[in-house]
Amino acid sequence: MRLEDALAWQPPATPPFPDTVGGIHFGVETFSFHDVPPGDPAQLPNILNGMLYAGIPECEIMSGHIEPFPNSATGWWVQTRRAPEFPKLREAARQWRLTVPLDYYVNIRKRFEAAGLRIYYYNINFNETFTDAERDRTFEAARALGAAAISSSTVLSEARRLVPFVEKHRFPVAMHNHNNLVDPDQFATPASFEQALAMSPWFLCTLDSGHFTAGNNDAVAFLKQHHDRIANIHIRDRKRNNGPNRPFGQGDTPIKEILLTIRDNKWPVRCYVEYEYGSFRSSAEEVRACMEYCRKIALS
Amino acid sequence: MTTLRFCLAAALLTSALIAQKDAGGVPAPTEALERGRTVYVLSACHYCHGVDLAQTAMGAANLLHSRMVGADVGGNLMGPLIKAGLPALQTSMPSYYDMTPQEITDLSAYIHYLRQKGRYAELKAAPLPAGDTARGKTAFRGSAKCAGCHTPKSLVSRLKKTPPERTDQLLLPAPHSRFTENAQPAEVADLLAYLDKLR
Ligand code: HEC
Ligand code: HEC
Repeated sequence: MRLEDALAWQPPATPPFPDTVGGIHFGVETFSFHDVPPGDPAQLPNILNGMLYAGIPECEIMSGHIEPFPNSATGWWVQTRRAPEFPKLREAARQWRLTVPLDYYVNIRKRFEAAGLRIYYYNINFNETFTDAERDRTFEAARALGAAAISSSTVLSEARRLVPFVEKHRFPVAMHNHNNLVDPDQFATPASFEQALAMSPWFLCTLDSGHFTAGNNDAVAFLKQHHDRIANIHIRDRKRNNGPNRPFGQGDTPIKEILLTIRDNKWPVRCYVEYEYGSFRSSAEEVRACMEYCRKIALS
Repeated sequence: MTTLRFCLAAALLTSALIAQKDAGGVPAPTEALERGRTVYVLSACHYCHGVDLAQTAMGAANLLHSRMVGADVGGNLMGPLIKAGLPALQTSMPSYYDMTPQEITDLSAYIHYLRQKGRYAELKAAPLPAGDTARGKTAFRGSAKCAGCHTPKSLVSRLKKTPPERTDQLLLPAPHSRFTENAQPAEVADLLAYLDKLR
C-alpha cells in the first residue's frame, strides 16, 4: 500500500471486532508484519491496517516499528556489534531515544486508539549496550505508549541489571525465550525463566510457544505451572528438535491445548499470534489466517 | 455508519494489501529455479537471509559473501548445514531435517543464481580498480581457473576493448557463473589488465 493512501484512510472510531474470542484476549506481535520494514515509522499505518484486516485488537509492538533506525543499531544481535560502524550507529540510536519527546510515543498510542486498537506490550530487547539512562527512558516510553508491560528478548545477565529499574519504575518486564539450549545466559528452558522470575516480582514471561517446542520443552506444562507469571504467549507452530516454523496446525506446538487450557481455566494469559513461516502471500493475509486458526479453536 | 465505513475501508485495504509486492522476491527465469525459489520462500530463509541473500536479520550470515556458499557445488556443502541447522546461536537457524534431496538441489541452484545476480550487480556498481598484469597472469592459471578452459592467446582477440562490455564477457554467462560468484573487483581488473597486455 502506498503511504499516502494509508495516511489518507480514516480508521473506524470503535473496534470493529470484539475484545476477546471465547474469553481469550488475542493479539499480534508486530514482527509478524514482515513486509513492513523496521526502522521506518512512516510505515506505521500498515501495521494498523494489518491488524484491522486480521481482526486483532491489540499488539505487542516491536521497537523497530516505531524507532527510526534499523534493529542492527540496537545491539541485540551480537553479530551486528562487530560491524565497524556499529558504535556510531548505536550512539545515534541512543541519542534519539534519550531526546525524542515522550509525546512521540503518546501520538503513536493515539493513532492506535483512534483505530480502536491497543498497544498492550512494548517489545524492546534490552542488552548490555544500553546505558542506564537508556534503560530508564525505555520504561517511560513504554508507559507513554500505553503498554501494560515491556516484552524483551534478553539474557539473564541483563535481567539482573534490570532489577532496580523494574522496581523503581514499578513496571513489568516479560522475558521472551528462544531455543538456544547451549548458552546458559539465554532464555530457553523452564529453569532459565524461573531464575528471572525469582529475581523480582516485576519479571514475567513472554512464553514463545514455538521456540519452546523447538527446544523440546513442554509449553503446556510450563503454562500450567506459571500461568500467573505469564504476560502473553507467542502462538506459532514450530517442529521439535530445532525444526522450522510451519503454518499453524502443521508443526509440533500444542496450540490447541494451550488455547483451551487458557480458555477453560479463564486465565488472563494473552495469546499473541506470530507469523514466521514462509509464504508468498502478504503478511496481513497470513496473520489473518493464523488468527482464524486460533479463533476456530477458541470457539470450539 | 461506523460499520459501513469499516467495511469500505476493509475492502479497500484488502485489495491494497494483496496487491503488495510478492513476499518472496521476484520470479526466477526457469522452472527449476522457480522450484528453488519456492523452497527458499516457503522455508522462510528470506526472513533471515533476505530475498537477495544480503540481509543479515536475526544474526544471519550474509550468503552473498559467504565463502561456504561460494565453494558449494549443487548443495554438497550447504545441504548438510541446512538439514542440521545451527541451534546454538542467539536465535537458531532452524534444522530443515525433512528436506528431500530434490529440494536441496533446487534450493542450492536458486541460491547460486541469486548469488550470481547479486555479485554481478556489486561488481558492476563501482568502477574497477587499476589492474596488475602480473597478478592477472597468476590468477589466470591459478585462483580464477581460466586456464582450464582457455589459453590466453585464444582470448585476446575476442576481449572487447571498452567497459562495461569487456567486464561482462567475464561475468555471468553460464560457463563463467562460478567465477562471477566468487570474483573480487581487484581480480577482475587484474585479469583484464593481463589480457590487454597480451593484445
Ligand atoms: C531464523 C533465522 C534463519 C533462517 C530462517 C535461516 N537461516 Fe541460515 N543462518 C542463520 C544464521 C544466524 C546463520 C549463522 C550466522 C553465523 O554463523 O554467524 C546462518 C547460516 C547459514 C548458512 C551458512 C553460511 C556460512 O557462511 O556459514 C547457510 C548456507 C544458510 N544459513 C542457508 C539458509 C537457508 C537455505 C535457509 C532456508 C532453508 C536458512 N538459512 C534459514 C539464520 C537463519
Ligand atoms: C568452465 C570453462 C570456462 C572457464 C573456467 C572460463 N571460461 Fe571463458 N568461456 C568459456 C566458454 C564456453 C566461452 C564461450 C564459448 C567460446 O566462444 O569460446 C567463454 C568465453 C570467454 C570470453 C569471450 C566472451 C565473448 O563474448 O566472446 C572471454 C573474454 C573469457 N571467456 C574469459 C575468461 C576468463 C578471463 C576466465 C577466467 C576468469 C574464463 N573465461 C574462464 C568457458 C570458460
